[in-house]
Amino acid sequence: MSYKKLTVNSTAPNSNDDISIDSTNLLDAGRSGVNCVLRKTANGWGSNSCLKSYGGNLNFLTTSAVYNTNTSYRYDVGDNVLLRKVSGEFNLTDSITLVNSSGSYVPQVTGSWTMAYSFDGTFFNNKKVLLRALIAPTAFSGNMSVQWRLGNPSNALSTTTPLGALSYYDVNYGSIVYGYYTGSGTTETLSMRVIEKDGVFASHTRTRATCVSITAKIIE
Amino acid sequence: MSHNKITVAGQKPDVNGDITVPFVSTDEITGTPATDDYLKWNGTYWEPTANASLTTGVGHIFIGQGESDNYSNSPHGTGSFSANDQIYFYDSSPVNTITGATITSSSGWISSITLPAGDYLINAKTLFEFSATGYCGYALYNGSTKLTSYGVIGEARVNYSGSSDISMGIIQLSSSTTLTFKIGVLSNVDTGTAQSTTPSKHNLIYIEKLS
Repeated sequence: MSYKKLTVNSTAPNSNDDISIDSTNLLDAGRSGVNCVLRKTANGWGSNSCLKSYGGNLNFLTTSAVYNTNTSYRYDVGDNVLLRKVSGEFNLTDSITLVNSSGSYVPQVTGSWTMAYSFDGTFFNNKKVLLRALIAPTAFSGNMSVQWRLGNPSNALSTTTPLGALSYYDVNYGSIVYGYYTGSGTTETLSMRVIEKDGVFASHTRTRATCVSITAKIIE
Repeated sequence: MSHNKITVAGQKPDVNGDITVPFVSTDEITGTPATDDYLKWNGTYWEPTANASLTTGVGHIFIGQGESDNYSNSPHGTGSFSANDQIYFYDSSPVNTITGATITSSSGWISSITLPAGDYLINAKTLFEFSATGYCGYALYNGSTKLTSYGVIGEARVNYSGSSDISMGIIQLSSSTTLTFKIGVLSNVDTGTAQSTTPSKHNLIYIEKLS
């Protein structure tokens, strides 16, 4: 070994024989921002961000598309709640796939509407997701309650598990349907299902779609 | 130059010739960290910071404290309401922690919010007085473009039944954008004078920056 070959983290001695090393040399991600804290990274330590910064993953926003909803198809207990998708109503679907309405637990089988949401297993692994929905069904009479459920939407309600509280709808009022989902590492399907019903309800109309909102966002 | 003269980060070798270099030099730290403190970069030094004082989000706006002020004091004034009318929200000291966001207001009545590029979760509601059984649907707009669902109030929502008073959604802005809340649909909303303090006491806007 010679003096000239001596380096520490690729830093050679200066004219005072000091090898100047500070935290910048040790942080693989640098210290780019004021107010950032030291944080373990995949390869070492960094301070590139101390802020939680998650975008949204799902959003419904009605479009100007003209359509009619056949409200003769009514919800039964156990049905998946349908929302229109064929005209691009879901303007945000990051790592979430819309599942076409099909099978026995929907008021109407149609590829123009979605009955469930498939969450990518890899992307959502160990992530906590807040689900919120306002479904504005066409209410003819009475009331019904819906709930976010985890499980195959083509199977009976009893095979699925709840992800939040029941939310109440009647001929005037609608309550936001909240759900809390933790990614398991495998791709899973979520849907809102009718839990209780005492009256007559159908899918949302074009007018009611202006009141519909569904959001999913990672919160941790 | 000899081995004995070599220092690393100002640290000399010990009797065994070992140079111990701390992960973060004490020269880089201002103050004395306590147990469980974090080190936060303040632009010059690593600054000991208690967990509770760390910034844990990317910012939010919270408007609406239940304060009382007559709606006729807002830019709307005393007159009647029509579709596309702007809605004003009252808050004498709104919270805004979103870097680059501004809230435009006059005498506590907020007329618009300008948000920098990014993704946002929007929640808003208000309450109006009605001259007869009716309804009112409102949402967030960029100009004439509706960005969120209608929040709907009123006892006779007709075709808007099953709706909530919360207007909500996720919006994605590619550049700084000035946003307003507007009435989209309405029936029998009473005049600005008749609103009295009802909107100011019930209005709420919560905006959370997502990224």
